[in-house]
Amino acid sequence: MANQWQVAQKGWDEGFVSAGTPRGPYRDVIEVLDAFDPAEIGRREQLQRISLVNQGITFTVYGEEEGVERVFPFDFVPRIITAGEWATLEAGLQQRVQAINLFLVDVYGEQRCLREGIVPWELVFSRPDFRRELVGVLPRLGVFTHVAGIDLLRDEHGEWLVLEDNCRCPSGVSYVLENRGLLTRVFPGLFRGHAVRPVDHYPQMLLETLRHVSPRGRERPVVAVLSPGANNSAWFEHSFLAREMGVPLVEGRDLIVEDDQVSMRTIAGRQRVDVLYRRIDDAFLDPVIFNSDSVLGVPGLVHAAIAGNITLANAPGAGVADDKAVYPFFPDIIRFFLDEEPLLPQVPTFSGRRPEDARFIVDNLADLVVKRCDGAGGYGMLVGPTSTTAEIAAFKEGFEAAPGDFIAQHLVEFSSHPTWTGSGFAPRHVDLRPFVLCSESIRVLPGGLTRVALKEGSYVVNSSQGGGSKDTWVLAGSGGDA
Amino acid sequence: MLARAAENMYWMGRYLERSAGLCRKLEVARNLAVEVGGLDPASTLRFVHGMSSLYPGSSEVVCTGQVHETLDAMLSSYLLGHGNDLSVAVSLRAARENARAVRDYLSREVFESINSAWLDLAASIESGRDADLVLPEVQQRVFGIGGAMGRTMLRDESWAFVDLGSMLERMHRVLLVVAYRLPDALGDGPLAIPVQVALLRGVLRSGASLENYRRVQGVELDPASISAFLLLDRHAPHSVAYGLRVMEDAMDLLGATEGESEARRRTGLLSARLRYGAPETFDWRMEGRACIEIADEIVSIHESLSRQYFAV
Repeated sequence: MANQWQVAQKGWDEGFVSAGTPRGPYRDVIEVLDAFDPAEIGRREQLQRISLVNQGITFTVYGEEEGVERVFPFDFVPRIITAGEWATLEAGLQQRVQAINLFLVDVYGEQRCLREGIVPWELVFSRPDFRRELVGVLPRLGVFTHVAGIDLLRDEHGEWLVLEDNCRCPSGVSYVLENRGLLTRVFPGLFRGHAVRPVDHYPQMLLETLRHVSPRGRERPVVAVLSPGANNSAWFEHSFLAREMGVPLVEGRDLIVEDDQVSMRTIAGRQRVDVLYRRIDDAFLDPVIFNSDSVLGVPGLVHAAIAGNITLANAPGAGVADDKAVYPFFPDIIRFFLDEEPLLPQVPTFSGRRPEDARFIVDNLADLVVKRCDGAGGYGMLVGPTSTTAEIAAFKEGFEAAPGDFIAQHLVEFSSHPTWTGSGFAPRHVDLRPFVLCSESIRVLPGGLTRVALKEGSYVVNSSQGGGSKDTWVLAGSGGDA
Repeated sequence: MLARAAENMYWMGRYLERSAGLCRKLEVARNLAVEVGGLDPASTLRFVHGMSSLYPGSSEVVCTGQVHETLDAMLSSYLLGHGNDLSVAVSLRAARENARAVRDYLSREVFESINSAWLDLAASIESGRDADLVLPEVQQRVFGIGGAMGRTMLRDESWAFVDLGSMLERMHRVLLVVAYRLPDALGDGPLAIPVQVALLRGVLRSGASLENYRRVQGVELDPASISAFLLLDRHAPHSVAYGLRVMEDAMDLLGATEGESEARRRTGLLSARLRYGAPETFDWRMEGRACIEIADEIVSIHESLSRQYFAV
């Protein structure tokens, strides 16, 4: 090989079976990239960076200077998923999202799964994302989560695992589409010889999903995207989706609720809205019901939804399904509602609420990753294998005081993927967020957002902490393993 | 169309037009300083420093009495100055922020051209590049934005608001050019012919109308003809009459009738006043005062538009 291709020393290498031996679907891609010298690759990489900057394909980082816009770095070595693998993933994702919605309908409805002890009722009722105001309110078609992003990873054996569910406002799909466009422009030769399933139809799929759940049975209901505004970190995505769907992008101040009807303020007066694809968290959605300090939301919006005059997608209250505390119960939730075994395994998780799990966690803190259920972004967690004895002892004290607030998992050595480092190709850790749409049927966009930890050895794939993304190819055709 | 989006489109149009106008006037000042700064420093200086009267409310630039020093200060303030609310840097950034707020209404080409123009200018400011080198680059980029808009944007309501914003900005500055720059160009006493020609050409070029004027009026640079051309010619894209016509068309597209819309009524009245009420022979000195009145009326039209469309 003309370029230097390093292979993962531990964990699953997505691109190589062993040093010098690419996995089947990667052979052509590696051959094409090997035809370029590092200088040419650098030139093309610069082109793609300029393209991202000029098109404003950015996200906003908080906590530094006000409103710093950053490009989400793009690595041009595509991640490839064979048709056979994808068929398994797709079925597993559909099953999981179906179960998520059945669980939510039940939690806000009959609460059978709570009464029968599938999930402890006191756990559900104690979660901040359980919205007791919405008990008894059933969204149209029984769908709470119209758009789900399910984070997956592959363990050291190459087995796909569900890492977490995102049932509220999962973001990143705009990068899936933009990454594909960018790769076709900058490295068109990579596609030669591959039948890659397209992703450009996602906005059309999303619009159809949203139209299906319109409360008014009209042929062309008025759909809008609700965003917190131009300072939001995902503003690019909000405007991208609105533009691609051909629907208005509104902010809270553009909307008004009168007599439980929601209208937009337009230059021709007020125009009724039927469906809002909202990208504002529950807490800020409606100051009347939720956070009264919110200036981003719309007073009366949730009441209008309860009255059945507007559909909010995703429905408020959906967040309880992706709560870390509920996650360990999901295999049982799938069995309870669907009477099926989960098609996609998840990372084995211990819940501090179960006495036997709590004992196991205390005895094995040094080997586990322990997370606070209400923690995020790496805060409030212990990574046992890399922590000192003193850190473990201090954490143990906090755990024993309230074990129910924690979950624990074995450290998963998730897979690596060949990635350009500036001088050669080296393995970097990746995950995958496929996007699932749910209304009358459940549809999965082929592929999803592959996030990559660009720093050597890092497991952090978040865009705000040095992560980047890749184009994810799902190959058309039948069978095959990567 | 959302009222907020309409306002963003309107201001995007205004800020882009302001950026283009500022670049043009700075370029005129720079060329004039080179051309006749040595021959008649006092007149040149008056013309160069007179920029602030075309952009009232902008930061004051001290006139040092030296043509090139003052020009450098003007370039620094009006092209790159973050502290000057009416600089190209501030206007282009504001245009970009408005564009970003309504990028779902813009073609990819339009947003990309605005975004990259601003990013390049910001990089030039950051690296401390010479304003003299930056000016032609920015001017070209801003001109390119107009091309991208003209070729790719839908002629719908959003376009109407861009038209309203850009024409209002353009007319306002042209009126101030006639009111202030034309008297500056003529001076109080007799000027050497080459100087006067250069200054009058500068007036027309400030209003992007030198070549168009020549085609219509010939080579003779008569102040009355110049002011009449800049105010009344219905085919010159930078004249007030043309701007009013575009605004009337835009408001017609928006369905604004004279009976219902104050902005439409005011625009119609102003248009009729220019079309039918203008004297056959122009006294440019009298016209200066009238221009200030019309500029004030333009501000009133802006306020009417805001009340009608943006404060829904």
